Amino acid sequence: MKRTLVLVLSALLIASVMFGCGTNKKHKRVARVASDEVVDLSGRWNDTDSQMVSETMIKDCLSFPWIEDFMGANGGNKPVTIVGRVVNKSHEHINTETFVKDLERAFIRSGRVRVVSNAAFREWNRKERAGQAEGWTDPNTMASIGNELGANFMLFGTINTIIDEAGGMKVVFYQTNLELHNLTTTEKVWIGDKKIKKVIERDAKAW
Amino acid sequence: MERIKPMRGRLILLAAVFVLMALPACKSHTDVRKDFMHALRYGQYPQAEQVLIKTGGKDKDNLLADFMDRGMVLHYLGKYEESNIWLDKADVLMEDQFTKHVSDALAAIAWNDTAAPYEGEEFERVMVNMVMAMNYIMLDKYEDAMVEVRKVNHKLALYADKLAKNEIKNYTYKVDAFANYLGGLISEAMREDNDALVSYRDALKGYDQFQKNYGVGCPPLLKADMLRQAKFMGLTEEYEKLSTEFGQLDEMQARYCEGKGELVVLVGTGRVAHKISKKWITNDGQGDSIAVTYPEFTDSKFDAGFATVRINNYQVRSQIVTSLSAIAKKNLSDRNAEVKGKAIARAIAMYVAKKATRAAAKSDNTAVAVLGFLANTAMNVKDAVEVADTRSWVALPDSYQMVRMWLEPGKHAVNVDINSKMGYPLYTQNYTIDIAKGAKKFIIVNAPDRKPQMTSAKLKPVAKR
Repeated sequence: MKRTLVLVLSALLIASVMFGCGTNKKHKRVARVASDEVVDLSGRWNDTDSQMVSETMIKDCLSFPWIEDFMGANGGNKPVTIVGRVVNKSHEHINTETFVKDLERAFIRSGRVRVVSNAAFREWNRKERAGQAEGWTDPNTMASIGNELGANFMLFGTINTIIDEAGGMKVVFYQTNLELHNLTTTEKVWIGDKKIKKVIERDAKAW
Repeated sequence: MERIKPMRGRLILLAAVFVLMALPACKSHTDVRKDFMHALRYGQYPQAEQVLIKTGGKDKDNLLADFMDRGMVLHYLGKYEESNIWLDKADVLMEDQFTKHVSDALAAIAWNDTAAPYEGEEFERVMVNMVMAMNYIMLDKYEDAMVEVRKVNHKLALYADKLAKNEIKNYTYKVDAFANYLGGLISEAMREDNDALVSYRDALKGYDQFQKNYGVGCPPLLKADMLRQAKFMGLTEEYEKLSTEFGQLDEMQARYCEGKGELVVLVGTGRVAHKISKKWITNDGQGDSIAVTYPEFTDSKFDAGFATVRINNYQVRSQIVTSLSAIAKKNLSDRNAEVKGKAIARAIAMYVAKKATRAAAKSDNTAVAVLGFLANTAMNVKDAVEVADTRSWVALPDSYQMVRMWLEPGKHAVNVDINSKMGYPLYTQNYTIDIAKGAKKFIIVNAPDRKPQMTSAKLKPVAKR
């Protein structure tokens, strides 16, 4: 009977300690790391994924003959591009602007492609020009109206995901597609894609 | 009685302290949330938020319920971005809960389910993403809203796999017709017409299950949407087949109104069912009791019944598209065997332990007798005061209802009349919208029993019950 009592009280003691187990104490440490260092925390889309898409798309797009074809057919003039719509059809909130901005930057820095503002920024530009024409701005310094550069090609894209999950294992497949359309002829002059596959494992049990 | 030596005395005191520490809280989660639920019922959202800020986040095992309630109150306050921050925390926490902590499981077995972190009912886990989708809709971020709808379908697929793996066949919450319907509406707003029709077809199938399990039939609005989409996309055969199947419908709703925009009003009425603690207790005639406690969903009290949307002289009554209370009650009753089985097993184990301590209390050894007496008393007190795990997402509405209207492009004053269940007018909420040609404009309305308070300018203390 004494042994039974000891066992019962031990169980009570363990259970009462468990009530006290775990605290809301938070610890925080911050460290600066290189921007190209891979840090995977949650398994969700992150900066590494965005950089991988950028690198692949930039390399592929700039090495494709559409630039030279356009220049050859247009007296050596560089093609002008504009970002249209990159649609997120995935299961995660992905900021497509990160790799689209990288692509725009690469276009400009290559010296072979020109980039114009997309619809959102164009509205801001026009508001500013309209403001300048209200009479407050020195006419010699005003940006003239009616001289916007027309785009020759528009960039469209999609991101899709396929998820497979069972037990503690989850496989996420991301496919990013970007394509350039000729605005005059609607011809698709370039299609690039980047596939990323991640495996995320979670422990079923922990103490 | 032999003199108790100091060491034994300390042991007795220590044992008594541990036993008293381990006594579970006498108050259920619903009792703790009473002021919050009262404020929600009467639309006192700033007060409700203050109650949560004061009381929430203190117990790590209740974080999920705290995050969900906080996110919902912010949604009611129209702070959609902030609401999504808290609901995303809830979503991440749910994912992390995949890892089961052995210590939590043991504590839950030994004492009560409240000793383990709250994991949410399955419909609550889905509603986190649905409310996030509604928040994104109100922020005009339809792509992000669709991301949340896709997460819903993924969660339901995972749930179905889990049930199949555990050979559980009688669960009813396998599809969410409302999620599919909302997904269809968002797709249509984005002019993804093919995706919209696919979602509407899934919703139609889903409402068969909803009618059977929850008494929520397919709203005539959905049938009209399917006819309109099929005709718009030139699917003549499907259009003919659906026309025959659906019979008479509101012709105005069923045809695509060229040159007009569409207003979609989603109304969340009342308060979702909440859990109460039920107890079966009996005494064995020798001083020991055996008690089984388990939770049950019960309807919450509220008056708001339905909405009528008025624009100029034209008015339309809302149609129910989902009943969260019906889903909650059916969901829990599907798990009756599991929930009550655990409660009974715990009660039996506790009873056996009590008999052992009662026997020990009769020992000639004073220390053993005192320890036995204390332990036996503590266990019987626990049985008398223990409450079941009544944690749930109490801030959800009882149901969602929908109104749709085709309008000329431009500005419109929209009046949403909230009526009681008996049809008496309660109050009106007013909106001004600017609708573009060919576009959908969403308004999400919350319908507590009194006109909602959105600011804390004139805070009155919440009446104590």
